[in-house]
Amino acid sequence: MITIALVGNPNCGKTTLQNFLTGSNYQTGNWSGVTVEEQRGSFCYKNSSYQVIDLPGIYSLAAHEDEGALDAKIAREFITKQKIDVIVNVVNANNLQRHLYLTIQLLEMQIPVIVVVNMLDKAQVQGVELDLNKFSQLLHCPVLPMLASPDQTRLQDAIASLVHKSSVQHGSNCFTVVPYVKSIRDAIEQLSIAILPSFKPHAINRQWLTFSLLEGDMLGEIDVDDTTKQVLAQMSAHWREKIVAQEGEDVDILLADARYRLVQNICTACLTKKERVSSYYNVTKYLDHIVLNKWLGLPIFLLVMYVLFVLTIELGGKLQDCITHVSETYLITNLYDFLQQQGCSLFLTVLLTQGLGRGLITTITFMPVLGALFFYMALLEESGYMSRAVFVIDRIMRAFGLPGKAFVPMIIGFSCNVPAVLAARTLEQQRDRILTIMISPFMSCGARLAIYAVFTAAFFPEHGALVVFALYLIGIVAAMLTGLVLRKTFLIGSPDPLVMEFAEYNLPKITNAVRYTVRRMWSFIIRAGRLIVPLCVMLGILQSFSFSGAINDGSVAFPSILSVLGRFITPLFAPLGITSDNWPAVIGLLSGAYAKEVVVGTLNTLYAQLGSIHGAVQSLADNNQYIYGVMYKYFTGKVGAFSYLLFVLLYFPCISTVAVMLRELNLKWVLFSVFWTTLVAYSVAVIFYQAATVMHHIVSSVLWIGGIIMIISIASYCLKLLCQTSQLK
Amino acid sequence: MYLSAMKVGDRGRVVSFSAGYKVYRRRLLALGVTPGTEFTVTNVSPLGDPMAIEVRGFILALRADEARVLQVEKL
Repeated sequence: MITIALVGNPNCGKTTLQNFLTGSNYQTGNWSGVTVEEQRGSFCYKNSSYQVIDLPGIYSLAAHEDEGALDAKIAREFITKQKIDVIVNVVNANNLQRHLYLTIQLLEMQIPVIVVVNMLDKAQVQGVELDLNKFSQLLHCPVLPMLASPDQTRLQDAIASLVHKSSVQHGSNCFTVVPYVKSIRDAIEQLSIAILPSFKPHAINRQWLTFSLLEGDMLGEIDVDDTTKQVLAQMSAHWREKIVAQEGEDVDILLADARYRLVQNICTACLTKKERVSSYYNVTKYLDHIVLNKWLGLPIFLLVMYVLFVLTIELGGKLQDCITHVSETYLITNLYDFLQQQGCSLFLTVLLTQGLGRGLITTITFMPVLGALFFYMALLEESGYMSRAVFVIDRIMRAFGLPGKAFVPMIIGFSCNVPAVLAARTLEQQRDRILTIMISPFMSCGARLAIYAVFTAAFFPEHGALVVFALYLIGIVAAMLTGLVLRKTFLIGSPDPLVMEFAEYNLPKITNAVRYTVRRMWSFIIRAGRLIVPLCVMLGILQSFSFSGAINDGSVAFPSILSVLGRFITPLFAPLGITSDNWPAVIGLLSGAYAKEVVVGTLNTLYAQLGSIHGAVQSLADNNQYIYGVMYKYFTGKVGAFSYLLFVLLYFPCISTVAVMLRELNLKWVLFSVFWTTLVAYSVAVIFYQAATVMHHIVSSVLWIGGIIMIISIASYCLKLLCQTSQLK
Repeated sequence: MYLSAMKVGDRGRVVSFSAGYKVYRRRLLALGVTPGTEFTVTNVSPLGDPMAIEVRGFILALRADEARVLQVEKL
């Protein structure tokens, strides 16, 4: 098996090349232990099989020892530590200088490299011609053009024959034309001799290691004994000092400068520019002028986000209702009847329908929302607007201690927290990702809006909009405060510095967006579904069985484990205004752990049955009014209803959100999120209720508010302590 | 002078790097922002902060305060 690694700058067209080379014959997965997606494909050509690995886009091979830019780190480690037969480096003819910087670094590593030049047609439109023969000569490596509609076998043939030729010549063509100053050349020579005995050729690329050591990197990571490490550290430090003394400039600057000088020479020799005002470039400038305009920039951004919102909530949400309805019929009602006819035991039937069936439905119902989201994001990404959106909104996001890119997960959070957590992947730093995921449950999602709707209709018919708006704002404030607490404890530091290239504007291709959407949805079903289904089975058991093992007959009086627990913990909710006979409200909260959508259904059923027990007369026509009436009776007025809504807004993220969090982060962070959101919800609701009713019971109100503030202070202090001890380790 | 002192349309040249956040500096170097490189300020965000410069044929966005590691001169 011949291993080909596709390497290049972000958005250089690697994935397109991968698709041309391997067709649909690829698998996606995650790089082990992290959430950066890996894509491998393979093809067979003339009895040899080729494995093609699409590495994350990078600008440089320089090692940064910090945590940042996870995907760049993966690409770098793969290139420097794995056995690769040939690197296919994709460069963009439109922007040759910057792309060639990486090419030079790859060539310096003395692994066979093939350069594939993309966007030649676009460059031609701009009046730029590239002499491919000369280009190949100067780079000392084979060069292929990537055509707009390449013939798959021709491309495979070219690469296969080049792979063969390159592997024959392997090691013979040393690439030593970079014009480094003499002191650097000496340092490289001495260092590479020094590391020769300590490293096996396949453990790590030695040429690359030489450069890294000279720049002062990698010392912490290399796998050698302490004395060798010390010798290498002293030696590289000595050379660095000497170079700085001689040249008056740091090593990293001298290296980059020399490489860019070579790049510039190559470009001058191979590129011929016709003096013609490039139409394409003008389009970019013109569009940027509008999209980034002082007055239009923000409105355009808001409009784009509004469309995202409409697509996910309106379109996705409508489809979601429809799918829930259909799948409930098949997976629960029909399955139930079928299993009963087959003579299954009631226990197994309930387990399969209420557990497995419910879990599958929960997973499936996310499809429309996620599909709409992924599709729209793919279009935005490909159009080139995404980097401009980051540019426009960066300043605001910094108020949250987050980089501009985090606006996507936060805005999506208002439609559904699940894709919000998934969208946090696009952030480069682990710190930014965790912070974004931790605050996303406070973005009030569409499902919670359904609960607000019922309550505003029942309690605040005149000021409904105001109440809902206040709730959204309170959610945002809670998110900001949570961000603040985390930034002072576990996630100290500043957001990733912004060094962002504006992507070129493109007319997005529907086929690409569809392909991307399908791939992401499939990965969601497989990986998030695996967690959502068992969690739902567990909840289903709690809801369907009583402590004595009896099976739920659907009546309100049935003592399911969940409802017994609900009644048991109802007194806990007394400080936020839920009296002990209002236990359905608490069961509603517990059932909301499934999905917040379920709360309304549960409350409807429970209050309807509760009402009829008390002998109220009910006509079908004003069923809703009737339930509102019952609710009004049980909640302690508007104040009680609002404090309940505050709790609903802020508490425990739904089980699906928890499942994706578990997938993206680890158990510790998920537990933190579950406890923290519930603590914040409880505190806010209690403080509101007690403050609003302070006139009725001054002493207990003051005690409660004081107590809650104390608990929060203690919790924050504990976080700080915990953080310090974990840092000491 | 710093990048933040420049206006849209101004041409400038990178003079030197001050010792600063290493990762940031490396990223700039990798993208071709080396001493002596010329650039043009093309855009400023509507909210005033990130700035966009055209350098080596592409457009790069930088935050004003982070870009203080760069000493620049106006051309």
